[in-house]
Amino acid sequence: MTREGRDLPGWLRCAGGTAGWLAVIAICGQVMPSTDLFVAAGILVSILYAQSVSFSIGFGGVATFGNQAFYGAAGYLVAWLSLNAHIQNALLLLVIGLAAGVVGSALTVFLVRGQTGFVFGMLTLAIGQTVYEFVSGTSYVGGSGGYAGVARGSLLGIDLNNGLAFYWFLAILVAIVTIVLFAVRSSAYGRILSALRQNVVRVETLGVPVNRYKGVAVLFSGGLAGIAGAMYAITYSSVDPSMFYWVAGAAPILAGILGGMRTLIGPIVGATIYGGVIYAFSLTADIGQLYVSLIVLGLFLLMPDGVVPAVTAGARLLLRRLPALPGTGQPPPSPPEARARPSARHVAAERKA
Amino acid sequence: MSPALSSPLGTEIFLPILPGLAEGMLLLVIATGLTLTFGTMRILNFAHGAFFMLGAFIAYSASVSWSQGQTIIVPLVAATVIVAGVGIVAERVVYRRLYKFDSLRSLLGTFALFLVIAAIAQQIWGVSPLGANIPRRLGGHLSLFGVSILTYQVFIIVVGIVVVVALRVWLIRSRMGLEVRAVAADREMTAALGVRSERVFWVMFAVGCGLAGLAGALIAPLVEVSTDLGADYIVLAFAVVLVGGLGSFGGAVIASLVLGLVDAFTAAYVQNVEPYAIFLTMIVFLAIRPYGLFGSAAAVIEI
Repeated sequence: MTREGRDLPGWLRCAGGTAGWLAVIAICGQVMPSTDLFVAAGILVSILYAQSVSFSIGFGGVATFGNQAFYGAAGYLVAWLSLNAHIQNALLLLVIGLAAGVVGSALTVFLVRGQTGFVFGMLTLAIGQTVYEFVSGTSYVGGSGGYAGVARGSLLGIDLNNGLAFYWFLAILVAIVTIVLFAVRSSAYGRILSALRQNVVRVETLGVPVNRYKGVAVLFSGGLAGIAGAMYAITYSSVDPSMFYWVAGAAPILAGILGGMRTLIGPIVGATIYGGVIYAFSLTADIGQLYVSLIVLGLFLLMPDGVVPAVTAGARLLLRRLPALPGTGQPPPSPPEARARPSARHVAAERKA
Repeated sequence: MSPALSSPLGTEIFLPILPGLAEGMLLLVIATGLTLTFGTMRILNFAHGAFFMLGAFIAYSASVSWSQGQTIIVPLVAATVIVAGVGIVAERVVYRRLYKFDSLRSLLGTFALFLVIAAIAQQIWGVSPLGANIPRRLGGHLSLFGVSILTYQVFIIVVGIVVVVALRVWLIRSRMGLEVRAVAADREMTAALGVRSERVFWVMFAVGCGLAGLAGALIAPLVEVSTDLGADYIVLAFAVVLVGGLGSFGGAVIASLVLGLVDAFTAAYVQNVEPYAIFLTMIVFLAIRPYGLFGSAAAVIEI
C-alpha cells in the first residue's frame, strides 16, 4: 500500500487507460478484415463476461460459479423480446439484460443465503445446472435449439448491422464497464469489499455487515453477466441452452484467472488471450481444443496470479520506480500457508536450537 | 410393467429402490475418490470428473477389443489401473504445483486439467457418443421380492459395497491407512513425525483416480459414453460430498444412497423433474443444514 502515494491520480490513470484502449480498438478496427471484426466482437462479449466473474470471485472473494444462469437468462430474455416484441433498441436490450441479471442473482442470493466459500460456489453451480436442465429439457423456451434470428437493431440512428459500428459499440461498452468497475473498486464500498476478501473476521469486528456487502457484489456481478448475455444474443443473433452449461460458464473464470482476476485489466487481457488462442486454433478445429486447453493449463501453472500481475512484476523489477498500473496497487495476498500458525517443523527446529 | 403389477401388496411403489441404490453406489464410488483426495490434499478436484470419463472410455475400448464385451472383469481392471496410472502422472506434473495455491486457484487448475483430459479423450475416441454393451452374463433380469430388476444393477451394488468396505478396512487397519488419516488430520505435524507425505499424496491420488476409473467402467454399459459424462457427474459427486459433509466418509455413504434414491423415485413418479431432482434436494438440504450431514464449520473452505 505504500506505493499508492506515488501513484498517478485516479482520474488520470482512468483517462489514460481509456485512451489507450480506444487507440488499440481503433488500430484493430483499421487493420482487421470484416470477418475478424465479428470474431473481435465475440471476444469483446467474452471480456464483459470475464469482467463479471472476475469482480465477484477475484475482487470480492465470493465464489459465484453460477453466473451462466444470469448470462443465459438475459440472453434468452433479450432474444425473446427482440423476436416477439420487436425491440430494436440495443441500449434498451442492454438495460433489460442488466435487470435480468440483477433479478436472477438476487433470487440466487436469497436461495443460498447464509452460505459462504466453496459451498456457496457449488450451490450457485447447482442452481445454474438446474436452470440448464430446465431450459434444455422443456419446450417452453425454445427447447434444445434455443432462439435464432435476433435483430441487432440500431442505436442513436447508427445501424448496428454494420460490423465496424457494432464492434465500436461493444468496445465503448467495455470501456464504460471498466470505468464503472474502476470507480466501484476505488469507492468506499470497493475498499471494504477488498478488505473482506483479505480478512473477513477483522472487518466484521469493525461492524461491517459482511453478507450485505458480499450480496451486493453478487448482484453487481450478476448484472454484468446479464449485460454480457444480452450482448451475446445480439452479437450472434441466436441463443441456445449451452449458454447455461457450467463448463461454458467456467470459461470466463479461466479467462479472468489467465489475465489476473484481481486486477482491473486482467479480465480484458485474459479473455483476449483465451479468445485469440481459440480463434487461432479453430482453423485446425479437430485438434484445436487440445492445444487451447494445454496452453491455458501451461500459462496457469507458469503464472498462477495471471499474466497482468506477472508482467507488472517483471516490469517493476526492470524499472524500480515505475508507478503501479491501475488496479494493481494492492500487494499480492500472502499465501494461506504463511498465515497459518507456525509450522510444527519450525517449532521443532527452534526447540533443537 | 407386468412384473410390477403382478407383485403382491402394492410393492410396485418400491420398484425404484434397487435402481436408486445402484445409482447411489455409483455416485458413492465417484464421491469417495473425491473425498479422499480432498481429505488428504485439500484440493477440490474438478478433474475427478475427467478421470471418471476416462475410465468409461477405457472400459468401452477394453470391452470392445477384448472378447467382444463378454467379460466385465477386463474393462473394470483396465479402467481402474490405467486411470490410476494417469492419476499418478497428473499428480507429478500438475497437482504437485497446486498444493501451494489457495483453494480457488487450485480448483481452477484442476478445471484446466479437466479440459485437457477431455480434449485428449476427444482426440482418441472422437466426439460422437459410444455405446458399450452389458456383458451377456450380467445382461438379464433378476426377480427379487416379486420385482424384476437388471442383474447389472445388482452387480453395481455388490461392487460398490465391496469397494467401500475394502477401502474402509484399508484405511483403518493398514499402516498406510494410518498415515493417510494422520496426513488428513494434520499434515505438518505428521511430516514432523517423519511420515513422507509426498508418498501418501501420490498413493491417495492413485487410489482416488482408480476409484474414478472404476466408477466410469461401471457406468459405461448404462449410458452413452461421451466427453460430457465427466462434466455431468462431477457436479453430482460434489453434491454428494457437500450433502454428506465435506471430508466425511460416512456422510458421503448416506448422502449418495439417499440422492440415488431421490433420483430414481423422481424419475419414476414425477414428470420432468428427474434431471435436477438431486440439485434441488442439495439446495434445500444445505439450506437446513449448511455443513451437510456430518460436516462441521471447521471443514468450510473460504475462497
